[in-house]
Amino acid sequence: MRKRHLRAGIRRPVIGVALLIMLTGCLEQSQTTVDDQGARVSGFDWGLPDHIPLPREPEDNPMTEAKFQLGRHLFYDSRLSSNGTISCSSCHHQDKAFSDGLAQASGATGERHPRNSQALVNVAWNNTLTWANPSLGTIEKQIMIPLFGDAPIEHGLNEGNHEQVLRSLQVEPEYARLFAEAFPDQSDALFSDQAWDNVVKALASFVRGLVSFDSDFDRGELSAEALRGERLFNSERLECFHCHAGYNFTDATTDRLTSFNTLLFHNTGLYNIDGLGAYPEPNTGRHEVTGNASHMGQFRAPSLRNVALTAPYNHDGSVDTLEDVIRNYAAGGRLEVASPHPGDGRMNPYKDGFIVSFSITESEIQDLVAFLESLTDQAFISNPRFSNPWPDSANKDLTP
Amino acid sequence: MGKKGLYCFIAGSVLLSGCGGSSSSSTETVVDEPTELTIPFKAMVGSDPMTCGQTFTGLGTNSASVEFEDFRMFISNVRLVTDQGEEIPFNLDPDAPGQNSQVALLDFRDTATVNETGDTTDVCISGTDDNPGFKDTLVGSAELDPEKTISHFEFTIGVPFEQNHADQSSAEEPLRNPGLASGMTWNWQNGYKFMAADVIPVGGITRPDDAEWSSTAWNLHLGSTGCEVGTSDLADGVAPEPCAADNRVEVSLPLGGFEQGAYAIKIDYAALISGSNLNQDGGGAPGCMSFAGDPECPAVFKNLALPFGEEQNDGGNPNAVVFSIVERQAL
Repeated sequence: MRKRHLRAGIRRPVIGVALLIMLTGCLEQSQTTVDDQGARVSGFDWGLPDHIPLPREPEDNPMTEAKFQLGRHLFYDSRLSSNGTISCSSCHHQDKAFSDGLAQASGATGERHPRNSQALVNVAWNNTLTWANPSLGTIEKQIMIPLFGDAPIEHGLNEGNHEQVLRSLQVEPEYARLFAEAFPDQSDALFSDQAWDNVVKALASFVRGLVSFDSDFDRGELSAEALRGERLFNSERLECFHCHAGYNFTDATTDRLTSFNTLLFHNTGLYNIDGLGAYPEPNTGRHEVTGNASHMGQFRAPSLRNVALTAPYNHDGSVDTLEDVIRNYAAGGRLEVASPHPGDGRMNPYKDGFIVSFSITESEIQDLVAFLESLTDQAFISNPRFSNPWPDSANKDLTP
Repeated sequence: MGKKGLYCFIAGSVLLSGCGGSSSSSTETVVDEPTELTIPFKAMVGSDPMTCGQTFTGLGTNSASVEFEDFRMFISNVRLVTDQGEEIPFNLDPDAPGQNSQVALLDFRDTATVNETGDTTDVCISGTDDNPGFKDTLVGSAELDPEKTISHFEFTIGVPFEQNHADQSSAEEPLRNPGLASGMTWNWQNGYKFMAADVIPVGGITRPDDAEWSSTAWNLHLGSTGCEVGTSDLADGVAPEPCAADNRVEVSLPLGGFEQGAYAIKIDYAALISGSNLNQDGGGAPGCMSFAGDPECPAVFKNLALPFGEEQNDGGNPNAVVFSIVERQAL
């Protein structure tokens, strides 16, 4: 087959082949003696601990510091919306690990999003994007949805306003420099017909660069409580670690050493509105995209890094606290007696096999929460590299 | 126009004997350059031309009245088929507006507001300017052979698979978003709407089982669904995974005696939604979003001769009711 050009092919060094061959004799894939050089080559300083493999970088959008910096300016720029009211940072606040503290947020026109704004933490390692979309394999494709989507309207960019919105960026003196630096091979990166593509690639680069591996957990500085919580987390009684697996605490993780991209989504028994397993529309999860009945209520396991900062929880923000999330799992799902969506999620026929009920004491819940809190990365939420770069101005979103 | 031998491309039994059946009618048998052709399409609502800003009445199962909000579709894989079943590609002219060598975007919205800076705003409302993106004609060429008789015109409604799942912000027009494809992208399914036929029914849309629910637009969005990425987004050179339902409409129309250059393709919205109640929704997004289980889709897919769920909908080319060959001048 002809090699794809426009599609985000992934930079994969030749060691992929070597690893594949080795895998047949070594399915564990834990330690290999393969020369790691290719897997660690990037034009970008990822600042990762040694044991974290580099994430994938799209062949047509390799990471650079200049694109990251341009993307950072765009991320915090509310001119990137139909009426100047919404920037990416409106729903993704650095102090909340780039979530927003709301159950559901509203877009530029006031339309409410049916799902909870996700945290943006180590997104570069996700093998799919958003809560449950198996068709989105790159951040570049995902970004088109908040910018240009019409159901729901988020930034509200469309056929009728995109030229005007682009002009509002073109008059910003900072962008002349930032676009030129980010796309040095282009003669006029801000005014050419590649300008929007450049916006998308830069935004994706910034989001891809939001890296968090500097928590108490990473430094091995766990309190006695958190250590007890870690043991619970990794116990066969609670089963947390199956879905929230690995260094990024989600089984939806890929990196440059990954050879097989298995898409994993899970129904955790939150709803069962018809007794047959249905989740309330439109939040039917992976099913919303595939139409496959067995995908009902399946969502991607979010990373638990910085999870203590990202309340409320679950895809629709319907669970207020981590304690309640744990209690739902302990019950083997959620029994909803009140409207609007009553039903016994515990009996959801599509529930993941690891959502088994377990007994847990209140003090064990607190231990587990202490462990989850140890995944909070204070450096991440205060890192000036990720903060709003704009000086005070009416035009630019300063939230928060 | 390279019209040499064009008079020979007349289908129909009456004329067939005098054309192409024997070599005596032509001194040229070698095709040395393609014939340039234009194929006009005409969006209709029954017998009336579809226009923006006008109310059309008597539509669907409940005789609804509607105004159009959008009516666009991507056309690809255009070909002329001989009476011997040979397919002669109609090669789209990549330099013509609204098309590249693979795909054309027909845009039947005839009006738009263009503001002082030249931006297009408020497409498809009444009393405004021409929509600069309006397109109702395919421009291209085909290697016509005077020895052969063209009997059918065929095309696909849809974006070819490879282009459908590529990045949109860097795509070649008319697939670029933002650009000509704005409003025709379907990002949550990672692709394009192959056809968008969106109307605003007078009286709105309600649900029989939910008095609290209402909506304003009855949308028909045709496109591939169930498109899950896998290894293709991880490994270089791996072809994208197929979609569960590709939903590309194959249209085959008998020319019925029209010669090349004398016919147009009629697309009849009234026929498309003849089995639908445009003031009612049974669940999911209002209208038909091509989605498995969408209660508004069976009636529409049947008219498009597209499989839907358990229904193969392949009996007797029913999409020939929605699409038909008509005389060019008559429109």
